[in-house]
This record gives sequence, C-alpha cells and structure tokens, in this order.
Amino acid sequence: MSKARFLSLFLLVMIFFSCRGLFVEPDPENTPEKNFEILWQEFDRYYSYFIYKNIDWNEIYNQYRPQVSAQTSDKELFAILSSMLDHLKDGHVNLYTPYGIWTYEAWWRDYPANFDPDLIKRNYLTSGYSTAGGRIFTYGKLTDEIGYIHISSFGGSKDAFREIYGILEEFRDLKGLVVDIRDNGGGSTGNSDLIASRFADQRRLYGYAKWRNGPEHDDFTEPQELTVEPSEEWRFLKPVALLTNRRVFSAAEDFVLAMRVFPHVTVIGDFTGGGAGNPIFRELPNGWVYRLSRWQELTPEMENYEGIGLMPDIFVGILDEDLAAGKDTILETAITTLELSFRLNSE
Amino acid sequence: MNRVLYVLLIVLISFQALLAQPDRPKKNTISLHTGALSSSVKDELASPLTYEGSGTPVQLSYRFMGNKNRHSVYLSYSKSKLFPSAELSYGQHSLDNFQAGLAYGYHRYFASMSGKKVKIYLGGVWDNHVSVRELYYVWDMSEIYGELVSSLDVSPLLEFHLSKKSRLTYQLALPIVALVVRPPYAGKGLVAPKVTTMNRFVRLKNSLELEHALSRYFNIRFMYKYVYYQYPEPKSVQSGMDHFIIELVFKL
Repeated sequence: MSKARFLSLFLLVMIFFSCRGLFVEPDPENTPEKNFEILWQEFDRYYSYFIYKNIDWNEIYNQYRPQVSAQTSDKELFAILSSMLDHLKDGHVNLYTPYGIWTYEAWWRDYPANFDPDLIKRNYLTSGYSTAGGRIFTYGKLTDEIGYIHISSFGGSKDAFREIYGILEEFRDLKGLVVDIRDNGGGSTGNSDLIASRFADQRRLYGYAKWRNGPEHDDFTEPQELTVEPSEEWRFLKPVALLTNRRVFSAAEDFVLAMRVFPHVTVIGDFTGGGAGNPIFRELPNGWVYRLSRWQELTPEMENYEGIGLMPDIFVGILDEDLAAGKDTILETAITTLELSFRLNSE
Repeated sequence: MNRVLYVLLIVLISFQALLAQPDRPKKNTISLHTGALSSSVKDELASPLTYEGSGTPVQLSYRFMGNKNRHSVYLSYSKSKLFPSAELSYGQHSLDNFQAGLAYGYHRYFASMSGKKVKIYLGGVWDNHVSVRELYYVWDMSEIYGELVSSLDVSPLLEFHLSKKSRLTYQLALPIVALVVRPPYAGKGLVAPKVTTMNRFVRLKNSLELEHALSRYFNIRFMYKYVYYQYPEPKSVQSGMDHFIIELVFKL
C-alpha cells in the first residue's frame, strides 16, 4: 500500500470514528408532552419556594398534565404552561416563547406607582440634571446641601456602574444624598454590592441565602451569610435617604438590604416587591426559555421577604391629589428627614 | 544556588552525551501539538439540553521510549465554545468549556504477546484533569460548572511498525479508581465543592496516532483522540470530545 493511500485511509478512519456524541444521551424529544414534563420536572427539582408558598406541585401536575397531548399546538402549550406557572406567584418565574413572554406581575401591578421621574426633573431638579452609565444614573442637586441620584437598574456591565464614582466625587462636599431606586427591577447583585460598598462604614452582614440543594422540596443548604464590604475608594458616610416603591425587586432589594444596615441610611417610601429568589435561566427542547428561583434570601433577622417585600424605615405613599399638585411626597419626606439630621448633627 | 547549578550542569552534560552518539537511537522526545476539537456536553446541573461546539487543543508532552518500557508526561489545555442544541426563543446561551490536564503514563513491553511488527505494552496512567464550564445567558450573567478528576487508569498500548520510518499507535485508558470533585446540587460556587464519590467515574480515552520520521531530529504525528466521560452525581454529566491533531515531535 502506498504512503499516500495509507494516509488517506488513516484520515478516513479518523473521520469515521469521530464519535463525539456517541455515548452522550440524545436530547429529549421536542413534543408537547415532553416539553411539559421537562418544565414540570425542572421546577420540581430546582424551585425554592414550594413549601414556603404551600404549593402542592404534584397536584398541579395532575391538574395540567391531562390538558397536554401530542396534538396540543405551541400556542395552547404556552397558555397551559403559563397557567401552571401562575400558581407560583413569583416575579422571578418567566416563560419566554415566540408567542410572548409570560411573567407574573401582581407583585407591583395592584399597588400604587409612587414614582414619576418626569415630575422630579420638572419640579425638584430645577437647576438641571445629568445622566451617566448609559442612562442608568440620573443625578442633580435638590438643594445646595442635598444631591439626588436615581438608579434605574442593576443590570449591565460593571464599567457602567463604576461611573457612580464620578457622581459621588461631584457630591463629595454636600451634606446629604437622596439615592432613589424606585422602579428599579434588579439585575446583578455584583453591581448592587459595588454601589453599596461606596456607602459602607464597615463590613456588615445584610442577610442570608439558602440554596435549594436536593431533589426534595425542603432540601436546602445551611444559610450562607451575605455581607457588604467597604470600598477601598472614598466612601459617602454622611446622611443618605434611600427611596423605594413596590417595583423595587430582586437585586435592587439586595441593595436595600445592604444599605439599610448602615447607620447613616434611612429607607423611605413603600414596601419593595418581594423578589428573593436569585433566578436561573434554562431551556426546553423546543427552544423556549424559562426562569426560576433557586434560593431563599433572608433578612439578617432570618425573615423571608419573598412575596412580602422589605419594609421601609419611614412608610410614605404618594396620594393622587399630591401627584396632581406636582408633589412627590416620598422625595419631600426624604429632604425633610435629611435636613432634620443635618440639624441634629450640628447641635 | 550551588545545588541548582550542579543539577543544570548534569542535565547539560547528559544532553550533550546523548547528542554526541550519532548511532544511538533517540529515546527521548518532546512534542507540541495543536488541531481542532469537537465537543458535546450534557451537564444536567447547567441545562437539560446538550451543548455542542468546537475549539482548539494544545498539548506539550515528553516521552521516553525504551526497549522495555515507555514513560510519558502530558500537559494539555483546550478551550471550546458550545451552544445549545435547540434554537432559543430568548437571548443566546453559550458555554465556554475549558479543560486542563496533567498526566503521567507508564507502559511495559509484553514480549510474549508481541510479534515482529506489532508490539504490545500494558501499563497505567495517572490522569489529572480539571474542566471548567462557564455558562453564559442573558444580561451578561454566567454560572460556573465543571469537575476536577484525579484517576488511575489501566492502559493497553499497541504499536504497529509499518516501516522503518512510520509507526501506528493505539492507546486506550480506562480509570479503575477516581477521585471526583463536582459542584454541589445547588450549582453555584457559594457552597464549597466536596469529594462526592470514588469508583463511579466512567471514562473512555483512546487515541490512534500515525507517526512518521521526517529527519534525525523531527517526527510528525497525526492523531485522532476520543475522550468520553460521565459522572452521575449530584446530577448527571456526560461529555464527549473528538480531537483531530497534528503534532511536531523533537527527538532529543
């Protein structure tokens, strides 16, 4: 056999024997029944709030499984799965499909908005305002002594969030600061911790997390400490008012948890949304994507705030008549509280 | 410091002695390889779907080829980019699969089982490998999965001497005992990984290589390597990888 022939034969054998997927189990079939089964099983194995919310997941299976057959259309399957997931009443649970995104919204929809960003720009930031971090931050001065920063999200790159360093530098000589996170639906805890660290007086415990770590609904890890470390950069340790409403959710609630343990921070406004799930995204064989909570986050007092929200230090809402009169009573309470603390500090 | 100098001197003299004997067959080789790999991973901690993709392996190896035995040391690294088998309706998920390994192999010649053109060796490999799989999903978020494995493998090796210059080698390695560290059920690195079990790690590592002498100092190798492993806890992981490799061998 010539060398060229032998080499060709060798290469052919190599290709013939290329067996990457030979022993790897094939993916489950893409059928309505299989997609239903996988979604149900995945939640059964990983979702963290069945017992806390008193949900009988097997009963829900018995209720919805008979509705799915080989003839079920994708649109019908979307409706069935959405109805099934609605029982969880969890803002961290979503189903993303070509027919729409199913999301549970009652955690904020049935509550007053308590926030109008245009009203603040129009009536309170009268000397003008700026934006930074790709419009994550809107900031300006409320008075000669008080600065204002609104943080719209904690999602995005760390670089964008580091732009708060420049804003804090601008406000360094002010007596106090309003940090407004109303309508901030969350993002990454890494980003919320990055900002909280610029307000930290020392390392502090702000909560605990228990991960679902087994097939049983009550399988959890021991509570892991969640802490906030002071930044190595200069930190703002003067009085701070942190504004919240029902649409503050998930990583934004981690921010509230971290900020409220600092003695110079006062939380003012409405309860937060109560999303303490730390979700993960996964996929179905038909390409639909879903999200589910897989831990339970607790306050430093070991209280679970999922579905309840975090209570502010000073509870204030905006009445319709205040809104009509162009008044943000939450922001005004924050200004009054800060001015009072300036006076107390100077005495 | 003096001790280091002595060792260096001895190494230098040994190399010189080796190179100064033109008729003596060269038994030590150092080789460097690269190529392409095709990978398939199903890690149920990360996803119910299989992730597939391709990447590049690199490996530095040393081999001693004596008359009666073989010694080999491999230092390898590969990176591949994998995507889910289904087209997703929202965002793009991807998996960066990093593998790094350090292995030592010893094989002894079995004359009674060998023929004139086929030499059979039997031995073992102490194989250490770490696999890090970073799963990216929407909003730039990622999770890390993977495993760390140290195993003792039983390994037959067959050499077919095709001509004076060419040789075909087939090697198989199967672990008889393994130490596996996997992330916990919770997946997230917050919970410290622990040694979960021994002897439940299944791996098939085989390679077919064709080596041809180019000159007194260089050989070239073409290699196909298939590696499959599976581990059941805390959730099943299965990984299959094809390597298509070209390797330059330096004879010392």
